[in-house]
Amino acid sequence: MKNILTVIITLIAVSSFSQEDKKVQYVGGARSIISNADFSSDQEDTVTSRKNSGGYALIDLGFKINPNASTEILGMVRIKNAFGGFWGSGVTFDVRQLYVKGVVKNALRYQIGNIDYKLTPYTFYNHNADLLVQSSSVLKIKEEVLNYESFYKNNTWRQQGAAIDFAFQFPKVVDEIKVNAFITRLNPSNLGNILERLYGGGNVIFTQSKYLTLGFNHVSIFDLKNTALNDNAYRNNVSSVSYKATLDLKKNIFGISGESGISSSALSLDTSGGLKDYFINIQANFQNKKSGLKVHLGYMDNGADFRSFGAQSKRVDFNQLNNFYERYTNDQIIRPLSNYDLYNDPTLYSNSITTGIMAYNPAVNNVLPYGIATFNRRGLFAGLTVSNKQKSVKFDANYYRLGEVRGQGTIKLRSFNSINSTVEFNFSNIFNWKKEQKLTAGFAFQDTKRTSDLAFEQIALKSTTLNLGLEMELVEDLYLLANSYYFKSKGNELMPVRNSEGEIINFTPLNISGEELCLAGGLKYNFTPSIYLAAIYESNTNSFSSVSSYRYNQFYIYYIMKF
Amino acid sequence: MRNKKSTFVFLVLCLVSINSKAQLNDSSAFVPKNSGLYPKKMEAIMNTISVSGYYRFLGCYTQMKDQYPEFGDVKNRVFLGDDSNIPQLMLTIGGRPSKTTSFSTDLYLWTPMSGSQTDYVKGLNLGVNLTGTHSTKYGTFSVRTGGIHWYTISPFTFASNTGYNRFSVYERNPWDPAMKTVYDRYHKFYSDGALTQDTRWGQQAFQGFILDGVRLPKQFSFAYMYGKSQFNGGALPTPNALMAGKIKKEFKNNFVSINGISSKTYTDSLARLALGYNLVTTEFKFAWKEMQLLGEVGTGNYFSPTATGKWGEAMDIKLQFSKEWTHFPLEVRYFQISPNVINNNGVFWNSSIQEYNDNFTGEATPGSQTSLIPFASSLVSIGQMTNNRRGVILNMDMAVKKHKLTIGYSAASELVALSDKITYGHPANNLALSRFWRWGFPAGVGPYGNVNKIYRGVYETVQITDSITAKGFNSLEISYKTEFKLFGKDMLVFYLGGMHSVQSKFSPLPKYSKAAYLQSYNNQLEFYYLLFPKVILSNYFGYDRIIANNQTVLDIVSNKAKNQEGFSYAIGLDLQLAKNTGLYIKHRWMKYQDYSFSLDHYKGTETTVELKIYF
Repeated sequence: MKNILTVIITLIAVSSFSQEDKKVQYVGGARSIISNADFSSDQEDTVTSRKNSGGYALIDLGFKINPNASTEILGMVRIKNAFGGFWGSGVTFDVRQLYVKGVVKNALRYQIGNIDYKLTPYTFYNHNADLLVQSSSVLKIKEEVLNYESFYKNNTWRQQGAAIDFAFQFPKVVDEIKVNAFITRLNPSNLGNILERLYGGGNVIFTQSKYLTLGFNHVSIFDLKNTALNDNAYRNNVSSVSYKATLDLKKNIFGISGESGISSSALSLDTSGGLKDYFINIQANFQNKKSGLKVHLGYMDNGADFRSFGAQSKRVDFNQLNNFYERYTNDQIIRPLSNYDLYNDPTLYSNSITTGIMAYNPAVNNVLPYGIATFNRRGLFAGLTVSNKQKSVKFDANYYRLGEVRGQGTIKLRSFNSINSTVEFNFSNIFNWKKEQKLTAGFAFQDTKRTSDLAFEQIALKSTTLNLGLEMELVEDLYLLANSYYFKSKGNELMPVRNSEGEIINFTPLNISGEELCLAGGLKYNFTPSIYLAAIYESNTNSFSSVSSYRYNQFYIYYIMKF
Repeated sequence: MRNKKSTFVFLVLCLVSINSKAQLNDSSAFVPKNSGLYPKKMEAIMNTISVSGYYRFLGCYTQMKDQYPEFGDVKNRVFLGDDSNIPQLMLTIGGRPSKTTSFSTDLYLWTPMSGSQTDYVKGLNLGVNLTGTHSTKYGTFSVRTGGIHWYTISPFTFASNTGYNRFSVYERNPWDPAMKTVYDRYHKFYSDGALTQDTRWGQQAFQGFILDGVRLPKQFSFAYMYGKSQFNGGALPTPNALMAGKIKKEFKNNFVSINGISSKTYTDSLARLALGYNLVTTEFKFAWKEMQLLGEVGTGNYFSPTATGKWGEAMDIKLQFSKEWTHFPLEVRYFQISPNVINNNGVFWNSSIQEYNDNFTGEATPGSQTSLIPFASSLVSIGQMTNNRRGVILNMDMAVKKHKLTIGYSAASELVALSDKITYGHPANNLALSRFWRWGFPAGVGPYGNVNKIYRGVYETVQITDSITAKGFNSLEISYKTEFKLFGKDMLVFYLGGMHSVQSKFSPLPKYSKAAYLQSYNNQLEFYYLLFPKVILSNYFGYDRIIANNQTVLDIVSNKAKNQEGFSYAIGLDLQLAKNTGLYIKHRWMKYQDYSFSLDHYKGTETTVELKIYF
């Protein structure tokens, strides 16, 4: 045992608690947005307001309290003031986050309250499945707001619960064994028919050396029995092994990484045993050190009954209604969620783990609507990342060639093609300019097919997304922003209708045909990299509705601070 | 050594950034070490936040022997707390995330002390404010967004009236700032002729976006604002905003600026029927030897679904002479504001345009209307302008040894005959009378339904039964101040008098006779005696007299016109308990009667206790 050194790997956290010996420190952010929009549609509309204005100013003020060198308490309040609310009207106070974290005996790190957590892409992971192209310029500002609002960072989920981690280090054979464990509460009991639902799990990570790391992961969503008048308790278990092996040679790096595992989900009174399945994801990686070229080639096989709601919950529930111009035309038809809404409305996003199959929009992402944890997908994928020496041009592309594992409503299988790519031109590096000049182009294409002699089985759906973003530094810290976002989708799908247990009970034919174009431009001034002011004008047209196309123009002023 | 190495490895791994587009199947997503709690690196921290503010307790006990019938037989009332928007505890919280940016917010807490442990009010007064500045060789630019910022463009476009400092200082305002001693407040009013005011003095509240640039080349400066004043507030999603701005060029001590304001909203939920006003002006100041010409000239209009949007003129020109020429500072002022010009964000009141009000029904909330319902033909103090009026104002200040005198005289008339009503105030008991109605701002109250409550005041309306004419208004105001020692201790005496008349047409001289529709006289005398270094004995005598003629509405019983008389005497102590801490106790006897309208009378006392602590 003498050779075993127990080391707490969280020394960084410990040291941060006692920074400058201040007992109370402050974190948070502030934001002010003013917007003005005008809206019109092709059909006569004497019911919908043509113009809309809004905005707010808010401060998230977090008090970091360090009662001692190894403990930190954070309480953050949000004070929000609606644009137009004078003398105290239109003000809301909310608690944005509250947690305590610390280190026990220099050996175990814990956090209780709000936790930002993830494990692996198939167990507990926050996939960004609906914004397919790289955000840049104007869209980058918007995505930053979305991410800040919902705590989307590093693909973690913001949960309420507790987590611990600790590690052991060894002189031989294995460098380190690290243990992560968490427990969160998904919903409380209503003392009636809803049981207390928890989500827990963790992993044990063996780091043999810098060349090999193995992780054994397990998560479980489970109901606590006898916490309500309901004996039908739910359970969703996922166990996996994740790994990364690297061979670091003089000129090149070779590697293999991936994750494989099994899942089961069932209600305790379900005599059929529920759903059980497996998944495999393995990829080979290659990197040339000199050129920076990175290539990966992989295979994935996610079973049709693979369920892992910690990794399959979507950020956006596509069954919800818009908050902005929810209805239009004289018939007050519902305006469905558009890409524009996905970038503009943080309230559409959630950080809840949903125990069930969430709705998605096949036009936006039909290939992997739940990220790479999407069930019923099998096939190959490949990726390429390359940049030149001066880093003036960077290119990144990912391709998926997938198919269904099991047919839906038929034995015929859908096949999917998906490509995402980003190319970034950094003119400052090309021409040795001092000021930043960057053009980013993002492209995404998806193709879904199901061929058959029978008309009702035939599916053909194509979607294309193109985003061009320009950031030009005019004078020091003042940027000209321009953005062109184009989205087109055409074809048909048969959308599954599921019951409360997630079983498909019917299909709804869906015909999709439309285009969406958003042109945006503006100015942005950086006080610091994390504090900026931006004035943006944008024009959006959308023809996805079969009843009436619509368009709106919108002017924004953003002032964003992070501290 | 092993510890250090492993810690280093850990840190390196922790700092590996992970592509947020995990959809792209980045291989780092599968790195087992990238799991667990986040963040794995320390986040930015701000070390200091400033907190300032004040605590203000105000208790008021009223004992009425005689009061308006609407209050029934309940004659004694206890009020804890001041009128709306005045918290007991105000915390101003601010921080500077960087050298050039800041944020602030203010939290107010208020309890009516109703005996309930849950009866509290909390909120924001000015809201959430964000600011930023940037200095370049071309000038200094600043931006303000968010909650309420106090700002001014020019008197006609965006400012509040500062007047001529002829007012009583006996009653304390909630916003009165802290002075070094309790005596300083009164002595400063004597020595400087004005009170020290807080930052909002002369400014208007604005919410939205303000960009301004100062110290630009060639002594230029500019301001641009887009957002809402308190008259554009409310939660409706249809646009209701104003845009204003100015470009200013300075020439040493002189300047010229071009200013503009445009307010627009919609009277319908479909945003098709526009309502608003525009005003473009130039403000200037030119000094020549001992003379100074300053003022503002412009043109504006009002548009609504029922208005034609006709443009009108607005001018306010002052010629000021220094005492080297005239032995005392003298100001001659001419103003003329067309009835077509309206801007409630400026220094003049609207007395001409009835708001187009199809959509805004029900009780008005702060900021729910774009323009105020007009004040009819208002009898206003000198310096307070209204539209649909032109006039001449003379002002002079004299000081002989310790005696200081300011006199103002104005003769004005309406431009167009619009209103058959005159509104006027009751200076002697104005604030005490406003406390009869808590907590709202009711209109049409009083025994004859002609009293309207506004913030910290009331005004009464009298109906003219004569044919409608462009009425004439004359006012004479006198303010006298002196300082002397009584029994070896400092004493200040302030007198304030006003004599006003409103008649059927313009008159260069006041009509202090029954020829005037309305005569209003008021006298207010105040004494402040420094009993001890930290204790002041204060006294107040107020008397007002209002007499209407027979061309105004008569009482149906007495068949006589308004004939009102009000008295007030108050005594108080100002005690400085500690640094920035004052206790103010005041007791007032008041009596009022209209000798023609038999129901219009009251008599009683009011005691107030105020504790104010700044921190």
